[in-house]
Amino acid sequence: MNNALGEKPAPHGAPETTATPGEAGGFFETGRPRLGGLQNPITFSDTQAAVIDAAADTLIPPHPDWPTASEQDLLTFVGRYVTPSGYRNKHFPFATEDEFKAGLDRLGQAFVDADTRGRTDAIAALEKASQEGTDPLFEQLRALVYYGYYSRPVVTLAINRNLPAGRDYHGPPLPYGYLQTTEPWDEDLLTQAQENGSYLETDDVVRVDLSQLSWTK
Amino acid sequence: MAAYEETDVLIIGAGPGGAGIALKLAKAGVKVTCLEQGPWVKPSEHPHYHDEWELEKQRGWAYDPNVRQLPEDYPVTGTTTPYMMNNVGGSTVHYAGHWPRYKPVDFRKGTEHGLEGTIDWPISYEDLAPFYDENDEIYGISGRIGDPSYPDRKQAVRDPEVLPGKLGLKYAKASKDLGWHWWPSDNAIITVPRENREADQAMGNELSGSPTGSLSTPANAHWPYAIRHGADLRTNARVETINADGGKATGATYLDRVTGERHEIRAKIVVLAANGIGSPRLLLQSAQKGHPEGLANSNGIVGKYLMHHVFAFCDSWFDEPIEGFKGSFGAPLYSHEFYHTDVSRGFVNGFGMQVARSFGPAYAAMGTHTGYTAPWGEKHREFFDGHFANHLMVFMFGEDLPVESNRVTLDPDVKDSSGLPAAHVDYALHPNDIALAEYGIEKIFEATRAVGATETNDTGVLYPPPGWHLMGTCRMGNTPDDSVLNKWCQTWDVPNLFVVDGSTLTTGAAVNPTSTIGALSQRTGEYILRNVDHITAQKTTPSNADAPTM
Repeated sequence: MNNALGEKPAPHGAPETTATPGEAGGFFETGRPRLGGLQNPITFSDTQAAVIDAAADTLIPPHPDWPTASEQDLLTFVGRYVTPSGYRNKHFPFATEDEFKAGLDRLGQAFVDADTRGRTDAIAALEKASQEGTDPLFEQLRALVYYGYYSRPVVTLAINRNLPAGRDYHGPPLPYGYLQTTEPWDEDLLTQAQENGSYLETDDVVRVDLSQLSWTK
Repeated sequence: MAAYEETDVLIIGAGPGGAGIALKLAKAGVKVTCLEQGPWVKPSEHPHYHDEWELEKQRGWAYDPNVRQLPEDYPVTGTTTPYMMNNVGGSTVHYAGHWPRYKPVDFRKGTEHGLEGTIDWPISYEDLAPFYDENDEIYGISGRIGDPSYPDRKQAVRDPEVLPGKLGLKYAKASKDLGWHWWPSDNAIITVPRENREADQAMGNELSGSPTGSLSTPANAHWPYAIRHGADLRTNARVETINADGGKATGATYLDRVTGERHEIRAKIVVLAANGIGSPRLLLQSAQKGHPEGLANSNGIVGKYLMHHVFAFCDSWFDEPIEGFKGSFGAPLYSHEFYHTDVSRGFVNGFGMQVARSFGPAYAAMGTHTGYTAPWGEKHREFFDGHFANHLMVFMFGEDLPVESNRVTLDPDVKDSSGLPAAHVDYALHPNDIALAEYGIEKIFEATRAVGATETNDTGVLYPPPGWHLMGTCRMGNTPDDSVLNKWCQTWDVPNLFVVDGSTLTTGAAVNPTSTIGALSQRTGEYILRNVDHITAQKTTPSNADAPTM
């Protein structure tokens, strides 16, 4: 299908190149970005992949009772949600392939080879740059790692196992919902609710004393 | 062959304002055409079945069109976070469905204080009450009759209320212990199945809509039936101009966003229902001969008196499970203990405390509603384990004053994808709004601490406020000097042009506006139906006193 200008729709799952028909890459917009991100994730070099895994374990350190972040294939998750080179960077987490990879390259093998202290210092420096508005990489990495890690089914199972408050959490809201595990109203409580509350009839509305307003003083 | 088409009633916008009128008129056999710049949203587009549902909420389901940037969206510049959607059903396709009504006093705020641009509504609660009931039945509303903070509404039809869960029971107990008002919320979420709609499964995440149809929106409650009765709903139809001639609206010119073709459609009556930003935008961009400042804007009021409500998000954590991920996102309960003006507090108007659900673990890690982001590194695990699902959030939202300088205009530089001017918003909080909100934050934490909250965090008074509610910019009023519309939602300047959406609301009350927009839609539809010949014969818009009655 082409649009009125003869443009083709954007490749499945890819953000569009332009909001103005006829400009830029010649791909018109067809709707929401694909659920799940890119159908074909962008790929990373071995070193870039190692940096992502190392960063994931620095942001969410390994714990004996929890799945290890670097073992959850966050690499693919990141690849699905980074904007490919040449496309408009219009969807959260607003990370473009070229800049994102350049940031990973700056961390590089030295970051991968560093001990916990070294990695922590490097991420802290990134966080500072992000707070100063000079480099968005920290915000992008943290969002991708947090959203990615806590969306994995194996992490959901760990939540069920480890946290009393998360015992019934089952990941996506549907198809199951929580109808069977959500507490109903207490009839005694509802009866007591009728004891408090009133309203003003239309004809009873009168001018209030505006001299008591604190913000006018 | 004519270069235009003809219809009886042309409706612009397929959200709550337009849908109610379309359904009523179509059922009565009136030829109705609706132009909607967006598409239908299909069940498969919702993220509820996906592992990545929390991230998707920030992307194609982002509330803000400036972030979402879908083809049907248009930019909104200025001091605003406009939370709207442009599709069949309008912004109700991603709302919480919280469904309170205005109270009688809300129609008389001009009498009560008259501050800034506050005026009385030209109608009363009693005028609107039967239309609230009629509207509720169409949507499908769950809740419980009997709230003592409202007039009797025994005629309202209700499904059983949504389940409270630990979260709802916790705040109900807090309110009870303090002797405060509270009541289970009315929600536009069905708990009993309807045709082609499943009942609520306590799933949550209604802020990304509902693929099962449990969330009541015109996309499932109105349009399938209006179309069945002959309504012509045209999607991807972006209106360029509402046309007028000789003091009357003649129809509209629109662009088909798929083909790029321009069409003209003529009508006896035009109803504008494009929301509190979209409607003034369209009137202003419809400046033409005889209407140099925009259509229906000879008094310069179109776009003014924008209201959003004043908001603060208040998070509380407990050392016990709260399980906020369970249950429909429509609020389980609300408290209107501080709803009414009490000037001894130092401000007029009041606020509601609306208990909200949470989302999943990524939401907890990313900081819930108040930016309380889980630390990274060695403290991450302890923080997450202690905060996830131990969390309760309450919306403090209060009535903001209608201020003339809070307004929608056209952006002189930014255009949408069709080359039409973007909307521009100027909005500042009034000192009364700020005083009200700060008091509200204190009261919410008074309640949660009373029942054991061990940690709290809040956003402070949000500026700009989250723009879920877009109100007041084409308001109903009493004379052409104080408003854009008369008491039947007719524009003062153009008698066969009506406006029915959030922009119509004279004041904002301290409740979510959709049920009131829907009630006004029913009332206006009934008025048009009964008076169509009178309206089309009018050369000028009658005063409220002279207008024909229902």
